[in-house]
Amino acid sequence: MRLFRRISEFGRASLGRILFIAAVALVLLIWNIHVRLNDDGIIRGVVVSPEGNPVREATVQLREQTLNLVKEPLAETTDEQGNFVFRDIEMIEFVISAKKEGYGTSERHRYHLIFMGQNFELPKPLVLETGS
Amino acid sequence: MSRRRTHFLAHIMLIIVCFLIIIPIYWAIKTSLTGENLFNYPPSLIPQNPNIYYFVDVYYWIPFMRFFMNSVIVSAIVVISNIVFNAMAGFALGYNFPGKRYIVLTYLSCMMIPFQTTIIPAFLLTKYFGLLNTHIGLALPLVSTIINIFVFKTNFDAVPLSLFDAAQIDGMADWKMLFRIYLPLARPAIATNIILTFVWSWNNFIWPLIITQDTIMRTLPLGLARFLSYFEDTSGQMYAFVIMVITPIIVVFLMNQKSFISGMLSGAVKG
Amino acid sequence: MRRVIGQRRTRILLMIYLFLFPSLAIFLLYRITPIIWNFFLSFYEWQYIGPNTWVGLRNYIDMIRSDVFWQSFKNTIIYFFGGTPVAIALAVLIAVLVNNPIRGRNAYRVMVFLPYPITPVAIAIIWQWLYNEKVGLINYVLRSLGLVENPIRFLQSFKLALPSVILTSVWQVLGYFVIIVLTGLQTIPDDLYEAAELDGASRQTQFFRITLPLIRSTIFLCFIVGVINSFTVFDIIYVMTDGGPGHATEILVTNIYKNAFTFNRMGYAAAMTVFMFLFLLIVTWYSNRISGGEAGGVNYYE
Repeated sequence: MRLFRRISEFGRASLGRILFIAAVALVLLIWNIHVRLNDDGIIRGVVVSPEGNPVREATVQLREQTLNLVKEPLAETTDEQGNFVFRDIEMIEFVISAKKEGYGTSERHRYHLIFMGQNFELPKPLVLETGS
Repeated sequence: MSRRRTHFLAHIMLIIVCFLIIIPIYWAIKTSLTGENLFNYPPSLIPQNPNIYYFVDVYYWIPFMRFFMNSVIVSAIVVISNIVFNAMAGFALGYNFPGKRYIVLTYLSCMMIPFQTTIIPAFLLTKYFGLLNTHIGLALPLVSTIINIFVFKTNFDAVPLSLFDAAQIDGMADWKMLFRIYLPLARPAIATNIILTFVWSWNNFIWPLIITQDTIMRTLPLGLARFLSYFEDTSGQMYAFVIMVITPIIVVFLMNQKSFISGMLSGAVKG
Repeated sequence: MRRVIGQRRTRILLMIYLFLFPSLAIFLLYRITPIIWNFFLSFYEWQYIGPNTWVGLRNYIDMIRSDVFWQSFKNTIIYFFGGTPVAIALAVLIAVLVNNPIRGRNAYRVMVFLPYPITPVAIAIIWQWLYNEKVGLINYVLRSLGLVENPIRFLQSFKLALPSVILTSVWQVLGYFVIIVLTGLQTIPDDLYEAAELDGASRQTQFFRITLPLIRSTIFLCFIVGVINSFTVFDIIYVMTDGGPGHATEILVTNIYKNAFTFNRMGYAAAMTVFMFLFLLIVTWYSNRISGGEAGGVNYYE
């Protein structure tokens, strides 16, 4: 009983502080949940021609941007709608590009994620251009 | 000169002074958000392309959470044991007992011994105890500080003797009184203890530098100092790391300004 | 003073000694034993791995003969006599300004104090970049104002390295001194100023005749704090310059650290530690005496 009274006295005196800590804890909790829900490591996008038509069976290359090591790039092929999907990706920063025989190659785009394994959809399609 | 003119001048000068004081911190924050480096001259005043990617990089390039937890664990050990041991010692000093003069003399003379003069033997001691590279080894030299003992003692001495006598008549054991009567009344002393020991322990650099051998056991300041030797020319990440290291202390400070400032005042001589 | 009732005397005494034991043990282990250990270690030569050999006073002779040692000692003195008076003077000015009953004085107080709790390592890194000759803010400002033509290499120049590091230290410790002086200022009763104003004294006269003399002990407290601080700015120097260029910013502590843990000359480093400790003791004791005794104001013996 006395213990409870002492704790409530302490709590009332520093209410602002406790609210602040509770708010920080809440933000961290929400962030944690968000990360857990979106960390399948999926990177998807679409490859198009300069006119905007999807390109099928283009090869998309995903290379990790690390400080020291040079890692082997990963590759995927696009389906009939020009979509491609990489799974289980654990990269923070990467460079992505696409190419196909006869269509040319796209520019190399570099993206930086917020957390490892973040599900990411390319904001712009990879546009194949000839003559690069 | 009229009052108002003096006040106006004082404001102007103080604003200039505060500007000069805050500018390095602002610069660090700005660089951590925009990552200007050697190729960006002239430097810009306002962050131009703020992003949080540098913080993300720091989090994944180095074992940041590990360093952070190391600092937290060591600081927790230091703060808690400081409160316990110092309160006990401060309470005991409120009595008259044989040998008291010598013990107080010992405490006072230890105040004259700065930490830097003890590093070599302290290192050898820790090594012989097998505590190199451990959290306890990191915490042990800081686990009690003389200034804080006297902070508690002064606080306890201010408690009226009538309280003590009444409790004694009621049959309460003396040591129980420490926990039931004196400590609850000693909130400012506890706050001072927490603040001083937390700051000393969190910012401690030379002791972790000497004691840790594995990267995994480093504390934040040590990790910060070693960062440059691993990653060159990465101003954005470097300053993101700096901001990540100093934010906890600044937040703690801003939340407890009064206790902080008065606590640091009592700690005018580093124990 | 709490009384001890007769029959429970032994129990209480047991409690007292038990309560004192943990802190005493720590101090015995980590403060007193090291001093004695250092003293004896200084008479040996020890490479840390391997046997130690008695060399008598050889370490001390080496120390006296070493240029690096005298350089580091000189730098420590400059650090103290260069940095602390400047910091105290600035602190007094700022404290006097903040002491006025103006709005927002608390905010000013907090802002000036802000650098003090910040990790010194972080401060060293921030200032290191400010001093950078290519992209540092300081050089940029100096060149924009047209004060200098070519960028100044602050931390690489033999002449400017130590003052630059001292400036960083002053920046950090300034807030602390301001708080100490502010507390001292607040002990001066207002009637003194009112009386002086009635007598027609100008603000400057008031400052020099009333304020300064009455905060003498506060200023000496800052001095003592400055002494202890200047011997322990290891963090800042280690990160900013590591004693360089050459040994321009080497101070006693960094010298000791390098000799003990980089060169493994444990005996020699111990000798320097003994020297540093004795010197520090003398300076602290002396400044305590000048300031008139109890700088802390706590009666320890009662």
